[in-house]
Amino acid sequence: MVKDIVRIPADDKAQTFTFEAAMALMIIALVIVFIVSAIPLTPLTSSAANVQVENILESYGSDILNVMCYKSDVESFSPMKSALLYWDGEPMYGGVYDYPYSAPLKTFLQQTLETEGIAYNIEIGYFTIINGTKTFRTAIFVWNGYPSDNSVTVSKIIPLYDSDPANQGIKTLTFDIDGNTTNLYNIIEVRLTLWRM
Amino acid sequence: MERGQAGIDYLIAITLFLAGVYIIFYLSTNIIAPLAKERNDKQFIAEAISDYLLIEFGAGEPNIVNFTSLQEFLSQDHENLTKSLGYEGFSINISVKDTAGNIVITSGKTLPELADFGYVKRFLATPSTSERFVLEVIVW
Repeated sequence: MVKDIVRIPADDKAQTFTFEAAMALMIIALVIVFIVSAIPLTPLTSSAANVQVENILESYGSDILNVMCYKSDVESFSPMKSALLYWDGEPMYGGVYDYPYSAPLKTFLQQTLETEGIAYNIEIGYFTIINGTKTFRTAIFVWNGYPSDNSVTVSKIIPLYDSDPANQGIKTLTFDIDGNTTNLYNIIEVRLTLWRM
Repeated sequence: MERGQAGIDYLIAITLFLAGVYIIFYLSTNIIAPLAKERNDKQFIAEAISDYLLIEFGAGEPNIVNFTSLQEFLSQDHENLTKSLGYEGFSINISVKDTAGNIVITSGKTLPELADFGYVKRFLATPSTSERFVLEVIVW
């Protein structure tokens, strides 16, 4: 005698559907947790969570300007100043170009910023005379694009002197602030903007 | 209506589904790990040590140090180094490199292969050379 095969009606699948639903719910919950946790880490968005990243960049920027604007006992000028004294005034895109006395600055920026994945712009603030009025202007020295929201800018003042050579460089953008009364020619502001790529 | 094949289809589908769930949970550990909260004490100690070294051995200007004094200070063994810095109980590695990455001075313990550590990188110059240096402080 052949026994009737017991068939499972479709309605009896509720338990497996519940299991799938529970798994799906856990995955959705996991995704939500991940999204909420990941939002402050978006690299180009400024938020309270970026403070530590910005602090690190600020420390980096200050250190770089301090050591690049420092003239040791064995140097005639600091790397930054010598690069500016012989700069032709045209913006440099992607990094410092090769020209006389630019090598120390170029090498340092390559080894400290470019290899670390940190993008940077350098702008120079200077006084000039336009229509007889003393005006503060800004020139692009090195340009790598517009910075992100969480970029950091640090700046340092560099004095220029009458005795500094290379009158074709930064000295042509500005003017002798006191005639030839003292050796001071003028001051310029170097602004370094850093952001993570 | 008879649906003899439904059981096989269902088994295949549930197998694929469970495999998917396993893969997602397996990968999720690695996805979420970087987002986990972590203690920052070692990072703060590394920052404090780097600030101390740059100020204590400073040569009058920010980030400019007296290299000889710094070298002398870092020539101590690890026990005396942590004692001098006031961080006994922590392991510290301090190194000064040139910008090409060659080690000029190194002090403290050798880095472990795997550790949760605080790391700070600072830049410094000295009055006596045109070279610029990188100061790295690692605490674990």
